[in-house]
Amino acid sequence: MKKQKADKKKISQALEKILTDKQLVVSYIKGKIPLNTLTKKGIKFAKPI
Amino acid sequence: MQNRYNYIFDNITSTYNFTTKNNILYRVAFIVDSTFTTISQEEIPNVYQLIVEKANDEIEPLDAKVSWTIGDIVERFLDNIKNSLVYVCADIDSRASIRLDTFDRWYQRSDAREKILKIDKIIQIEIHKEMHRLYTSLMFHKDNPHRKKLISIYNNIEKFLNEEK
Repeated sequence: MKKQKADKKKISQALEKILTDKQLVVSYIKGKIPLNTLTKKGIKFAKPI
Repeated sequence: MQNRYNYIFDNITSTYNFTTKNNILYRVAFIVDSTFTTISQEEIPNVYQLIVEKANDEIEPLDAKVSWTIGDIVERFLDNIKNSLVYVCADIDSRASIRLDTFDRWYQRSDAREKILKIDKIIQIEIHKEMHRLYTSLMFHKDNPHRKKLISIYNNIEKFLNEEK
């Protein structure tokens, strides 16, 4: 049971991070925050196709 | 070949950009995502989050070429069979389900289905003591070497979160 709760917490935190990262990138795309804000948060862009 | 806009990779913003006939600039970004690694506690490389956004807040008239253009960028990104993509919209964004439906329409009508697998899930998640719905998609090439692992982890996300407390 404890493990299940730990897993659930871990997954929730991981999903929250997805949303936070997305919000930051959207803000960046809209010119509201600079690139170094993303860099400080550890957000990395994929290399070009 | 479906009708789509030409796009370019902008080295300054690290995004794929295109401008519509209504002069709306779209940016498409792929950012490194560690969710699958965090959850499984084993290294799952080449997972990225897809983010699509307009560069400004102008109203967007219906334009089918937008989804075909985004679809083309996604398809090319997944030509590297090691890449996989997650796309997430939260219900905080009132257009979340519409965006996902639009994306799904592209997928259902596209030849990309022959090589790209897309799995959708609606996941309930508690954020700051409030329940939210996440509309999610996982996409990867059918020959992705981590295919089985990706599906298994994605299924576990839903399983654990949707279990009773």
